[in-house]
Amino acid sequence: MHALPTEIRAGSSWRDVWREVALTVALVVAINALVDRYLDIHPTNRAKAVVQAKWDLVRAPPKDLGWLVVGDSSANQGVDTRMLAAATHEAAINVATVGDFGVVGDAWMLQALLAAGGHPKRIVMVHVADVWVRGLEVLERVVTRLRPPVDVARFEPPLAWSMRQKLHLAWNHHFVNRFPFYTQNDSLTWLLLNPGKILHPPQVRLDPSGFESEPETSPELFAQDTPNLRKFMKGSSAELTAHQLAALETVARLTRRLHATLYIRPSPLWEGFAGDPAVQPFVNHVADQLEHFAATHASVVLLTRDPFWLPATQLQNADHATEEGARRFTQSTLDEILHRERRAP
Amino acid sequence: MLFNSFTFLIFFPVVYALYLATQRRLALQNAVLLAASYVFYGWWSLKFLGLLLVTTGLDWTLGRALGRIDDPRARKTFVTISICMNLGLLGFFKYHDFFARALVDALARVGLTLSVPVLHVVLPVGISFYTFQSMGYVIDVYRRTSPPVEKLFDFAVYVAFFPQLVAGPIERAMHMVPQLTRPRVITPALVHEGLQLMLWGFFKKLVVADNLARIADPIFSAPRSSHGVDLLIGALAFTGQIYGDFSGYTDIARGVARMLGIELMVNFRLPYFARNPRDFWARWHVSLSTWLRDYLYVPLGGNRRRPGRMLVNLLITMLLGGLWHGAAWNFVIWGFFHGSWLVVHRLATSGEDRAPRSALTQAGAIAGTFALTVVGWVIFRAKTGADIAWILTHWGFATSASSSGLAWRLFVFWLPLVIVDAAQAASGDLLRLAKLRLAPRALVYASLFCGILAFGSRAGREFIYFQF
Repeated sequence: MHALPTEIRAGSSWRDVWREVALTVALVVAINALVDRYLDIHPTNRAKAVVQAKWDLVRAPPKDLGWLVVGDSSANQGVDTRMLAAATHEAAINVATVGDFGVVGDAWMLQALLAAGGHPKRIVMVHVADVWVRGLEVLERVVTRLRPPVDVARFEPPLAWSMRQKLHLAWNHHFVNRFPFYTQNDSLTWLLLNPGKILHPPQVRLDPSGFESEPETSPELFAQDTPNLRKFMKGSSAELTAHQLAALETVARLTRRLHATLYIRPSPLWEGFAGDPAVQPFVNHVADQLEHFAATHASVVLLTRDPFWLPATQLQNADHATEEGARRFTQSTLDEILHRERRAP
Repeated sequence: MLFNSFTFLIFFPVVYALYLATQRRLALQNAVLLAASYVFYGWWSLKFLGLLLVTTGLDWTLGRALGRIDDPRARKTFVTISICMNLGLLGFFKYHDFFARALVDALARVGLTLSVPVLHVVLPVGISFYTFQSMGYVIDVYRRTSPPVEKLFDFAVYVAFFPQLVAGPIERAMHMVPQLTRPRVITPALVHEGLQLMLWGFFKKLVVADNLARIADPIFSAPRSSHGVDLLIGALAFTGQIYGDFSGYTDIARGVARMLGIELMVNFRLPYFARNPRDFWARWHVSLSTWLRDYLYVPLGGNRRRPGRMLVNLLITMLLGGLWHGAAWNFVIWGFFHGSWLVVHRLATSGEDRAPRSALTQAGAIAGTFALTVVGWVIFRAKTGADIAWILTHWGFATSASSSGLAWRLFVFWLPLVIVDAAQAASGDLLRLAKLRLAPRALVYASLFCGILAFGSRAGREFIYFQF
């Protein structure tokens, strides 16, 4: 029988061990820094890229800002700022990000924009109905992923984080997020499985004013998303969560201080949900609460109670409009606002 | 408790700190080890900790009795009690339902109806490993190849030693007990090798095995949805998964033990570089194959009987070795497959392993052995006989829309195994990584660490061999 491989032992000193550990740790830190830099420049995660680009926009707002669009991904893909700007010959930016930031994210961005000298005349807020009821734990998941890191504690409204959440946020903010190898594992796995994209990373189709256009429908995504949303709305309470309401108060107060108007518009939604007993009561209850809020705040207008119903052919999933859907939604929103402004004394 | 859990990340540093703090007092240090081992096991089930205690207490008592008496009949009685008790426990927890169902099915085929209760017994984790280890000790004392362990405490640490308690290696008392009864010196070399083994073990489990499982699982759960090259990819993925998973576990166990100053036996010697089935079993799960050789094959007569009987002994050993892996027919068939392969090899070579003459014939022998090993893993992993037949008759080179993606994923996650194992095979040194110069070595370790962070599974998948 030929010789089997074996463990050939070699001596080692404590000095060798420490040198090896120290050099390994240094290399891990260095590799992480390189990857961190690469992923900041070429984010493969669509949501991360969108959030990063939108924060860049609020930090350097245009002068003569006629329109500020805030909200979730349905607004990011649904409100075409180019149409708004063309209609009023004023600058328009869309800083809507993703649903998990909720209205709290809108409030933060508005404050960041004001701090950077921005002064919008109109604020258009668009959210899917389910975003209004999302809890703090959802926000906790995304808040420390802001790059470059944002000290959200300096913004209003103050949030009632539990001690566990505070510790988790601090741990993520100060330590875990420094390790993209850990926090951006999905992006890295995607790159590993698509090595050809390392030199030519995918680009988000984001207009300089912040509108993300999506020309194609995605039947697969649509089929996956619609039952999930329906299931959520059927099984969840439609009460606005305290922190979303507090954030809405903050946005309303800042709007009033700016002598601007906050226009709230329910998002585009698949027309198959219209009248659906699992969806419509949820949507109606959210609308009731927003209507009450608008009625008690002079600077706030609820444009419509119902979502903007779109056919599946103009949607990417249940609430993300394609370019064509976005055109229709933006035009409808624009018409409503301009009509109201013309009627106003 | 799983090695690949957050709990273990806290557990081990705490235990290690206590262990180092008690370095000068052996009894106290062993108490730390024992307490840690029971916490480690009890984390999974306190109830079955009792079973471990029963096995420990009974085998220690029988071992001590065997050490004190010379009467052959009494000695035989004691060793028989230990074997019956250990195999009885194993049989009840692992095989009761399997044999009950098999009996009912067999009688139904000849028109008889029998009602045997199926108890849905929960299999205690690690029972196959610690019963073999404990029973092996009593047999060694009976054979007088190992002295009895004087203190119950030391024996309890030997049986329950947490790094290898639930999935081996199946240690021998003569190798391990002396390490537990004398003060241990933790040298820098041990720490260095221990860290390296743990790092490579975690990488093999979390990055290689768990990612290959994502390819293999869907294919083996519905093999009829795949054909051609996809089935081949599934089989190769499981081949890498089971090796990465089990050898990864062993490396972590050996690394943790080495950090504690305790040497565990080598359990894997680059099995996919084997040149024939005999060579394969000298490299794969070495602690089990040598256990089966010493406590089953040799007592059956081993090589000492006439050739026909020897081949039967080989077949019986492999069949039972297959059954050891689990109470299912595919494990029996897998054991039979390997037994038959060993028999054919022995008949073809007259039991002599001659090294192949040229590099080409060596490569051919390795490739041929690997191919048959893959066939074996298909039998091992598939759920039913029909699935085995489907995979083995429908794999090939016809591609589907998902083939290229699957193939790339297979390549990416197999590659580190191939590179490291090839380097180890070329040097004949299983600690080859530790021999690199400082800078490349640190780069390799940093890459492994980053690889675990980025591509390691976070689902906390159990190790495959926990179920055996």
